[in-house]
Amino acid sequence: MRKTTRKRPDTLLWSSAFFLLGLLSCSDNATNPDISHPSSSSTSSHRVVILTTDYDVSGVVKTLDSTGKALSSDALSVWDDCRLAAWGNELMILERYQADNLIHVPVDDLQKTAVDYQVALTDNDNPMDIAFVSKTEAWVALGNQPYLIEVNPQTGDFGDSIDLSSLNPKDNTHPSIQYLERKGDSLLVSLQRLDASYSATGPGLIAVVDISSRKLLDTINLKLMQAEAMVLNGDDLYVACSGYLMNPSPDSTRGLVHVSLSDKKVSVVAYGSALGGAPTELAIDTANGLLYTAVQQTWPSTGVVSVSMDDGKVTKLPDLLEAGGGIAYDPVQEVLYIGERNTDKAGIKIWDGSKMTSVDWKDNMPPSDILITDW
Amino acid sequence: MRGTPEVYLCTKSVSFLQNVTSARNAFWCIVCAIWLPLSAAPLTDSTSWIDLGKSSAVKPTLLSHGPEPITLTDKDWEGKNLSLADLLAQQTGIQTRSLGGTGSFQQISIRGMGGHRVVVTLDGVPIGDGDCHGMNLGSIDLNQLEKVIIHKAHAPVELGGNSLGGVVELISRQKAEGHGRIFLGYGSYHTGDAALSVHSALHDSLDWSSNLSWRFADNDYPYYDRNGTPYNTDDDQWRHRQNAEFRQLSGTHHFKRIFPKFQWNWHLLHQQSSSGYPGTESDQAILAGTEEEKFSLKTDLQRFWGSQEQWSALLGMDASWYKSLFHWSNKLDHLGYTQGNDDWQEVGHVSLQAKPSLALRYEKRVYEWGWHLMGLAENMTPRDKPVTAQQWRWELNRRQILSVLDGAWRIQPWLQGAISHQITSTHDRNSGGILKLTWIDTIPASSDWDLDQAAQFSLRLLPEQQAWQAHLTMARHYRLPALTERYGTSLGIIPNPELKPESGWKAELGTQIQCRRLQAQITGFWNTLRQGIVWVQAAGFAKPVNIGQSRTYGLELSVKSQPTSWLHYSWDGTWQSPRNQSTSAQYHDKQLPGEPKLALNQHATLQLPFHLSMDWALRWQSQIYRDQANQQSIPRQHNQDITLTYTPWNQAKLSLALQNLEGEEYQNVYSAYPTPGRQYHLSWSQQF
Repeated sequence: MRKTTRKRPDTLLWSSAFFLLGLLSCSDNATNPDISHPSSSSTSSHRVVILTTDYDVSGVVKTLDSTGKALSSDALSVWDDCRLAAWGNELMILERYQADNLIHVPVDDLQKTAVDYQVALTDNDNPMDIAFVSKTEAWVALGNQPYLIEVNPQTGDFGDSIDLSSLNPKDNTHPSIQYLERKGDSLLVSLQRLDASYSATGPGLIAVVDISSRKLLDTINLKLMQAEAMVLNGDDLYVACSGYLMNPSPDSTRGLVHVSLSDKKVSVVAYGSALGGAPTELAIDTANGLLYTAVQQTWPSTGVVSVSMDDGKVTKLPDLLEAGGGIAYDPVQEVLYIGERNTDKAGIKIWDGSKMTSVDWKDNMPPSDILITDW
Repeated sequence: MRGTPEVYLCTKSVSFLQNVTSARNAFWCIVCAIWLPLSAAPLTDSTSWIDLGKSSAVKPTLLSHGPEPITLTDKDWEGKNLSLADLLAQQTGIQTRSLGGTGSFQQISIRGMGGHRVVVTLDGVPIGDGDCHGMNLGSIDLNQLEKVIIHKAHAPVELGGNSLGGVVELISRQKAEGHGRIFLGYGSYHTGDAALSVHSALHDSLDWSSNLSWRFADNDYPYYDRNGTPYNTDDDQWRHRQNAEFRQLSGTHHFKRIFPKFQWNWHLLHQQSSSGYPGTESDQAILAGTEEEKFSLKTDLQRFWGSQEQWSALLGMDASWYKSLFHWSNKLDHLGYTQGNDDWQEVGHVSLQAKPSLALRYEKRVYEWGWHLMGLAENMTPRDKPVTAQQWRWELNRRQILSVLDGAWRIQPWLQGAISHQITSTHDRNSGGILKLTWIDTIPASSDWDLDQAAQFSLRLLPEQQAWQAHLTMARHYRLPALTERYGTSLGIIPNPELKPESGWKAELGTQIQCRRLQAQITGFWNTLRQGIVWVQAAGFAKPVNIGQSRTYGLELSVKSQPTSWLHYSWDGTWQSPRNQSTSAQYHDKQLPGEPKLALNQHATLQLPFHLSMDWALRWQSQIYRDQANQQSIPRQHNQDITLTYTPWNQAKLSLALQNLEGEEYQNVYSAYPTPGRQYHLSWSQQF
């Protein structure tokens, strides 16, 4: 087992001034040239990366081919529960619980021989998400640990850690870290705060962490329970809170939450009753002011709705049965990719705002996560 | 919730709570089992025991009811350190997978039908039918057994006349040459077994036999750990299996009393075992483990009447009690879901079963018919610790009445036919309540009723004075979901009260030729499965759903030869096409998990000078897949075993078994449960 050295802050030292300083100074286009987005490269490419997993124990990562209507032949076998993330052409595959590994491979060369590295985290870490800061610095959210861990994407070496144990709920050893968003020099971390028997102990939280000082700066109460996916648009953070899954009755425990990072105002864009269930995945179409969210009804029935960021108007997308295979909005093609996992109709559906089309899926396994990257 | 920890327990486990009435139910089951035969006792002439000689009161059946089953006796396994599943997998059409060393979870499949679909009985009592994972053959101690009978296509009517995957009949030791037998064995990784069998004719009409066995193993064998990183060989290393200790005490006890017109049998079975759950190759558990306790009491009374004793009746009652527990530490074992906030967790269930039965049979020279009426009352309650406030304290009940009508005819002197029809009425009831996984849901109390039918038909050609015979069998069988499949709330499991029975068709056409010192048998088979129960995994949860469809057809060729007095040789080959036929594109036409297209077994026994003999066995199989999507392949593999036996005198036998000579080990990194490599085992068997 790979041993890592983790420094954990002894005490929680933070201040609201520090937090405000962090927020005011941060932006997606930071002055540090090392963290500029790789898509600025003159030879840009565009890929839709798809994790396919079956209803059993298998996982394979593939990409859409140049036509965008079929899967390419390149394939990389992975654990059946993963999350995809990319820094340009550098794909990071987070193999989750019971594998607990990171795989680094070029997006345009998905095959065994091209794997740059695969490193093991400690058993039970359960890597949930990764936020890239630079080519040599990224932070991994660990679902079963009370801290974030630093990794060098180039080498797979682990570095520092950021302690969030002060946010552990009573009777649990970690705050159920879910996803990450980077906002300049800060990391926004969604926390479910479940107890040891997986019951929500209260509303979800967003932890705001200063990357440079490795300190927890602030927390934001989301009002609704079980924070899941997040998307960031400037100073606006949107969070899907799934509440108690499997119970789509109208209640106020779930919905889409908007956080204004400039003034920490939290408001509900749409409750679960309006969405038709529990929101889990999230994608954003900034040009049209729309949020897309996968809404789970009775397991495994899952639909997708669009929600207007202006007025919260909810529109259900057609022809979806079990859309639990991820969603991703492609601002270049101006389409939404949806992972349909129904046993008989599995595949990638493409929503262009008016009609739904399908990728030629053949006998591939159902999609489980979708990532769009360009460089 | 994606990324939520999951439990992958291939051991017994999951579901279950507690019910204060279970002890009372157990008491009444046992009382009924004792009372029923006693109440019939006045029918006998109990004042005088008549010398009936040594012959059994059971008359052999005159007519064939199906193809000849494969019968294995203790000579086929004694001293070889085989598990029951390994022994079965030496036969054509049977595959096995073990998840570890001695005593670990092991199942078989017969012609593409595995798990629950294979019915396993011990002295006529189905075992392991209450658990959602199917029978663990690793828990059966071969030292207890005298015979193993395999029915692949045809299910014996006295065992219900229905089994999708076939029936494996286990017969415990009830006879012994002399008064008994002692067996002692010890081998690699502190594996040992000791067995004592005693048989006594207390009287000419009263027989008693008892078997007591003790097995243990540390299972701390070395294995190559790839650390779960197939793309990184730098972190690979040799490790030792840990937390895999196994201990088991089991026994069978029989009493048989023979009267002029009666035979009265008592069978008592008990088994206690504990084993560690070592986890996967890269994720070994520290404290997790299982405990099992079984207790079964069966009695039957058989009577004959009529001028030629052409009528017979069998009245029986079986009462059994079964407890299965799985425990683990949240902090140390990292198995996933938890209940409550205590570190120490335990889940399990207690199952109580009572099975009355009545069989009537009428036999003439050219035909016979029978009627079997069987009942089942089952109660299942959980045994969980800690019990949280929101947990579903379920109680599951099953009531069943099963009727089998069968007949057999001698159509021509060289042609026999047999047919049976089974109808079952099943009523399941779950108490309903609050179900808590990572969310909270309500499971309504419900009663479900099923009416299912099975039928089978066979023809057998037995030309007199000819060295060949042939048979044809066709069957339509089904399998009811286990209570824990329909209503189970295992960790991470979503119950499905709508679950329907699986069903399928089976056909077999075979011929057997015997000439001089050679016997050959070729059999073609065709099996289908519809509405198969598949555990669909999504979002970290699993739910049993009726979406499985499969078709397996193939040929089995078996040749046995004794070219000289000092050499026995057998060759068993299976070619099959095991295909998934489900409508899901990613599974359709894929090879069924664990099923090779080609499997070969060779076996030779060589009699050597100086009271020595050598037994050699080779198993080879083509590529298999561990998963339904055929992404996790296991290359073709072969294993060789050698057993050297020294027989200084007739009643003693000293054996040295060398297993898996090349030490080959094949595991896919994503579903790796290491098994021992090369093993040694020395044993001594003494009759007295």
